[in-house]
Amino acid sequence: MTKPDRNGFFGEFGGSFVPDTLMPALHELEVCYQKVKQDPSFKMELSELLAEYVGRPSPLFYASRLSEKYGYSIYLKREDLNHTGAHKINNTLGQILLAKQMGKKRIIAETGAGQHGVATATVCALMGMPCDIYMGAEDIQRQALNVYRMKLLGAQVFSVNSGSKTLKDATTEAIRDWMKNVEHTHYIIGSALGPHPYPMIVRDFQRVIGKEAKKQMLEKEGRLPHHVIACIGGGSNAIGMFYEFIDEKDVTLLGVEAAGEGLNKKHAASLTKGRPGVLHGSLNNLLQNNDGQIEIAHSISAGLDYPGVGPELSYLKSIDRLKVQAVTDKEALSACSIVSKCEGIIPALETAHAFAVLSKKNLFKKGDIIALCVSGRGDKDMETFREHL
Amino acid sequence: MSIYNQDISNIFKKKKALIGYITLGDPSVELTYEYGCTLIENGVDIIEIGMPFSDPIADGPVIQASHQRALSTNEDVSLRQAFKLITKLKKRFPKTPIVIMTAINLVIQYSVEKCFKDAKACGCDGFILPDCSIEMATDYTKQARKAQISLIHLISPLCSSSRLKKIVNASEGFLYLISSTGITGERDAFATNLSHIIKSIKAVKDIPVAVGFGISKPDHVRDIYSFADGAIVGSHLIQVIAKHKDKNKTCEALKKSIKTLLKT
Ligand SMILES: Cc1ncc(COP(=O)(O)O)c(C=O)c1O
Repeated sequence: MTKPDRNGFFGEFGGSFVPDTLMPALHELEVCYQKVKQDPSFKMELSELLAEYVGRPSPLFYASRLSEKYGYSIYLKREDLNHTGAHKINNTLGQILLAKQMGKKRIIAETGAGQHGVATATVCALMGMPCDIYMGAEDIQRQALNVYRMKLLGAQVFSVNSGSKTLKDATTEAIRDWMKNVEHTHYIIGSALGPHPYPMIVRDFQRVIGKEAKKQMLEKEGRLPHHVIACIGGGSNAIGMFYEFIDEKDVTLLGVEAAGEGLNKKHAASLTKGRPGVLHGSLNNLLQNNDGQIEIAHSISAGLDYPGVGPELSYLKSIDRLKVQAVTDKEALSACSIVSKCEGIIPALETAHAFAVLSKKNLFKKGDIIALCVSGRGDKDMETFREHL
Repeated sequence: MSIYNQDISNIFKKKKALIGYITLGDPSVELTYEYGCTLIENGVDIIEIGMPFSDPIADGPVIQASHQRALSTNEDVSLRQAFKLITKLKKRFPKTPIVIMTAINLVIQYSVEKCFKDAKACGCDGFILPDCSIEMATDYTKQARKAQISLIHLISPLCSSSRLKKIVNASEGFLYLISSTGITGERDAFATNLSHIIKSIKAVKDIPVAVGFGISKPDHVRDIYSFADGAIVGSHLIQVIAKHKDKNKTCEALKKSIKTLLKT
């Protein structure tokens, strides 16, 4: 299994490229995390909340009509059934418990689709902590319903107007807030991104997805799947789903990125089209120009609309352990329509990208067993569906 | 004390140093040159050329906006351009140290070794890499030493004594002490333990220490000069440049700002 080295590197990727101001907080976070990770009472509190508040374990559902349509055995890992409707809460719950351990008094987070913002606002309400969320002005428009949800949950939402006005800029803004208030504020980053130890911590809190899926698969099929599929924004649901399978060499790991309007136009396919570089505290695959200026990503799904991807996935791709496909806005929309009608499950636009690879030729063989992570549900995307479908 | 950078150590030997930050290409590369000259002619001892970056995590709204202005002009604002600008400034002011402040990604994409080599060739004296923590700096320190470029590290008031030692030992030229936690930009209060930190720094190595982030008033400069070797002014100058559209008026305003800051 992959582990970051002492400085937080997975191969050449990762690290903690941040101003000195943040280093004490990152050290504190790492020390606290290493300690509580072993602590039975912390583990107990987390697993109780995961069971009783989030509703874990999430089912591994055999999608019979989809299976019949495509000729594969398709199992769906139903993270969409979690409280708040996505995998994001696995991470925010773990991190708020960490924040409490560190005695932090305030929580900040960035959000793209608003799912991470909602999941953060939710656990802050649960723990009675003040919560400030940064969100790009464009995403605030695309995901108006989630903005309202965060406010209802008691969070303040700050609109970010710099750059592309999306997730990238919200993340920059959240880091800047953290720089100012680092002594009493914990930053709950929303994906397996950012400076060490975040990619490791987020992955560990999301690992439960793959752990459960593996066990459920063995119970149902008596064997491991041929393929495990997940969509990739920053990479948290993907690394969470993949992690337990990394050492299972017969299982293909297939990550799906957003090809937006097409790989030769505007897209968010940082693993397919990016180069290694530093953004938001770690060295990752990035969409950038020759000089190193970060390019503006595009995806119809706000949660995939980010020009980078976490270090561990960058690494797994570089050693060819991870296969990557890119899916356009159009293909994702059409997959969403198919899955809704076939299974009565309306996936999030992000998740629809994962479903879209089922329609691609030559990726799978007839009869292959597939486990696909349904990272979230589509409620938040109704406006977009209504406009495009 | 610097082995290969005599210009930087000479400045600090003589007097307290005023260090001025300007963004490459805001509002144009040509005017960055003009404003650089104005700063030097009116009492700024060291020039910091800020490289515009799309996502500056250590900078406040003023400098971020300045970076965005520079990036939106469509002029070349790459490191290559910065090297050209430094060549030109050095021709006119051979003794004034010029350092580049940049997000590390621009250096990585240029190629680290080549970047420091080309920088040295144009007369650049040092680099400040605000998003390169000391834990990440080993390779950069090595390459910079090889090219005889000073790597000027930032150090925050929250820094632990063991990390402080590492940072000081890896630094050349001078050290950049951050006035308080947070990002660049004007502020009312500085951390209270700055002079204490400077004592800890000097106990490790005899290196000049300049204090930056939020310096905008003569009181600040006077205060900092009482315990540090230099003061760094960034957002304050950028605001002056942003406010005036006309070149001559901007030069006048910059001149006035520096004179005011240095009034003791
Ligand atoms: C439902 C859903 N899936 C996937 C993602 C992408 O994030 P990640 O790659 O971290 O799983 C998001 C992000 O907002 C999301 O809301």
